[in-house]
Amino acid sequence: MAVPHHRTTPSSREEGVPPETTPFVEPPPPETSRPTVPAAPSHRLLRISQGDEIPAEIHQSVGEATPILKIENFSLWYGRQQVLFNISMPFAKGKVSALIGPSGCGKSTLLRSMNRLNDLIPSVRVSGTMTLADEPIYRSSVDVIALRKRMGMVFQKPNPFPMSIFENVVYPLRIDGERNRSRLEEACERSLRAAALWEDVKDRLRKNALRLSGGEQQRLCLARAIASQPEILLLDEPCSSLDPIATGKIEDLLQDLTGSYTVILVTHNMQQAARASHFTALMYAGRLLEYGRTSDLFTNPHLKETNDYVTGRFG
Amino acid sequence: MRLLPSLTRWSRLSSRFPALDASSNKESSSEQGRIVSLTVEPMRWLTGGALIGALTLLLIFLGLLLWEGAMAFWPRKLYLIQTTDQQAWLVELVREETFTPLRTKPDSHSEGGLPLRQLLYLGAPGMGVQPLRWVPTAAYQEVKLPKAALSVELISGERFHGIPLALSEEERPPLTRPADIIARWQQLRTELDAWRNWKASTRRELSRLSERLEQAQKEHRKALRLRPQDAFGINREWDLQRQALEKSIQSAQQQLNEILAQQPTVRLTLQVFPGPKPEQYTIDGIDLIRLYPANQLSALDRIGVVLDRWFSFLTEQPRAANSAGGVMPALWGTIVMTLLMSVIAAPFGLITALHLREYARPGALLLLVRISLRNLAGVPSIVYGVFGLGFFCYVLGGYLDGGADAVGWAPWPAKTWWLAVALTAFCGTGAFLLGLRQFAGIDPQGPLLYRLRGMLSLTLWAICLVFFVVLIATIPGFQGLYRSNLPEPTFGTGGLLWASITMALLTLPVVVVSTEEALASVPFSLREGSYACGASQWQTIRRVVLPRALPGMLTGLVLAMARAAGEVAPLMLVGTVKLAPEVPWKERFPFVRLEDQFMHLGYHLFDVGFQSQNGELSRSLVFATALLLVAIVFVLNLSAVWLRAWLRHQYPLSA
Repeated sequence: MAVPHHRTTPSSREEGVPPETTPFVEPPPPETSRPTVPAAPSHRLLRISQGDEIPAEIHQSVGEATPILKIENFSLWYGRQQVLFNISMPFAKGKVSALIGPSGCGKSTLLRSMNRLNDLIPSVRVSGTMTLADEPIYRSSVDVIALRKRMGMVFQKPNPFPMSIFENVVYPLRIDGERNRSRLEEACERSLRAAALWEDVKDRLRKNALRLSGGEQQRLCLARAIASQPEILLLDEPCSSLDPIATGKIEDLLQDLTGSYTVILVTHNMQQAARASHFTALMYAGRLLEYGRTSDLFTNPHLKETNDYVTGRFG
Repeated sequence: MRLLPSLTRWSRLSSRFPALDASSNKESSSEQGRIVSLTVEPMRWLTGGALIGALTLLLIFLGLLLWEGAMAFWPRKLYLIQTTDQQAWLVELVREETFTPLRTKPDSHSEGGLPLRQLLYLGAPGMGVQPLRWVPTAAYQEVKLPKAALSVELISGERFHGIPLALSEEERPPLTRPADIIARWQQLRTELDAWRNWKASTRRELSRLSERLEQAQKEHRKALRLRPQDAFGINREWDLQRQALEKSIQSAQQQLNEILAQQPTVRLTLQVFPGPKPEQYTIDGIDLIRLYPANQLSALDRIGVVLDRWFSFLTEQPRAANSAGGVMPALWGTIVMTLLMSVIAAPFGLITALHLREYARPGALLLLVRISLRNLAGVPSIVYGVFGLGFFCYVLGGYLDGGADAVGWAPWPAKTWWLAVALTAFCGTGAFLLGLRQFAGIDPQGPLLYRLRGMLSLTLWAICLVFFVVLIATIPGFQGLYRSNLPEPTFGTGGLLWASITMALLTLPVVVVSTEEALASVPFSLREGSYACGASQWQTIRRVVLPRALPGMLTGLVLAMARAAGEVAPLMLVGTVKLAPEVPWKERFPFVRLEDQFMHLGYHLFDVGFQSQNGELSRSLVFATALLLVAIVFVLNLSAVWLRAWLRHQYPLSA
């Protein structure tokens, strides 16, 4: 177990915000009607706000990794409002990829499109293709339920089900009709150990999951997401509602999971992306701006806007 | 005053709400710091005033009900009153009031203030005097409390007041001392009760046997009609059956005669005071159900009498055209009807709400359905009653009784009917299969044709379902289940089943709306989490949504039950009657006869209070019944609260 990371960003110091109260920089929502960079108006952001097509800056290093999930020309509308614009990007197998960007830029929507969770919203329309291990995700013949079983997902707010801790963890197996007690118990222990929760809850597996603390609940959700050993783990700002210590624990878990799982992580916290991920993609207003190795993106970005964003100058 | 909280409670209240009481400043100063939250805003007074107004009305209502209900069976003292016009009465004081006398005597105002008059129960019914009489107190010459005075209750509901003179039995010397009479009565009472029960159960047995004989006769006639070729065998069988039944009827009749012959002969002679001069009045002990020395009772004895009367009230049948006796059949009817109603309404409401909230696509149609449902909840209940009578009782009931032609439907020819069944089955299956792909492969944004296909299959499915119901109702050759009883209706009139279904229909909107709200309160994030685990929609609903929505759903159901238990108007049309004293729970399983008419507390209240001839005398019954009804509804509501709390404890809703 590593010590919780010290999580004070340079930007928050510049703004004079005490690091104890706001450990993460929460960028204000972008205003789509006019450029959002009052200090140094960016040519690129201005053109995006005018609705121009801007090709994404994708580093060569991205193409070198083996992809498991590929997105091509993917667009998405809520009713008439387009929220994703022609996104094309691969995600590397066995690596952690982070999606960063200001609020409302479509990170979560993109993530939820990967396991077709947006299907729950009747007004959503999509175009373009996504493939998981070369099998298309969006095609009417696809069994959505089988598709979702190949991906685990953790949400912004912990959402344990109103049942016992044990039942929460083995939920994905239960809905598959697994009844073998020993297999369920084995899966429960394995997932809880992987989520570093086993030692805390092993004596109260029959207790209601809603009695756990927020951080424990989120780790429980993580255990649930990996209980059926999915190919991909989708994390939608898993630490945004947690305190620094709980966040530290989740991040440590991410480090441990690397290699065995492909992780796609949406985060607001630049430090988290920098620490936990191998690849990072910056999104803005529904477009992909830049995508590359995390080290490159944070220290040597190709675009000026990326540099501005990661140093906290816009967003 | 009894209703006010005691002083200690008041001080505890005021320490919790310091604004109530200035003296609490001392108390609060003993704690650390000062209270700073006492900002006074005008709205606070306005809202508080409204609250106090509403609460006062409610308290008056509840207080009146509780007081009158509790006092309904209180044994009052008996006064012997001698009036100035030489009348003597042994009376109970019912109530008193001041009055403005007619101005025939100008000096009646002389004593200052208005004169007082009292409503007296004279306790000598059927002896040429009004049982209740207003008497101005100015007319009293002498008022005494005779120690030996007895209050005597008869089976007919009449109550006599008198001084006991003698209790005579066969083979025993008559008792004359009041104390002896009362002591002996305590022994006699159990004997008399046992004899009465014996008689009643034998009577019941007898009537059941004759009912069976009647039924067997009907079946015999039916068999003869259907199979005239077997007439010989049928007749022989019938003869055997009839002989056996007649034999048992005979023996039961004999037993009854024996019982009647063994009737205990007890006579109680009272001196009663019907007016000008005291008279002797003899009561047959078999008519006597309760007596007590009204002026010698201790407080504990009085409570004993009250409890005894309440027990009789709850466990006995009504007597004397509902103006006396108990409410057991009405209580039973209310409870069984409410339970049946919830058994019908709960699954329907749940399934409907599930579709509305979970499956139906939001749109104009759904909005229309929602608005209609909420409006249906406000339709006057009598309208449901009219519908229930017209459709359930007459159409459905008539169909069950006598088949299609009894309600004027032309039954289809058998061939056409089978053809229609085949066609419906084919279309229904086709629609289902057509829709199956739609349900499984989720592509809501597919081409128009695809969506049209979905709508088409759903519509076809619905049409087939409706048609299927029509087909069931037109089965060729269905002659009704109770044709042999016609023209006397079995299900073709009001009854427990139709009343329950009507009430289920009435409460269905309430159940649906509350269930829908409970479902809507389940956060979307839970569903998302379940879907992300790869659960299907039904798995999500069953494993995550329903457990979480359970407390709200149950609360809605219990509130609907409370409403149904208190409803009267529609029941008057679809099965509640003034008198249906036989409660079938002493019979065989399932102890409920769905076609029977039944009594209901609400209707009983109306009947006792406003339809009976001696309203003032059954006043206590009215309040007791009202209290009972309110208590049932209150217990139901309380159980809803308790259930909710318990489920919340079992399944905490938030961390």
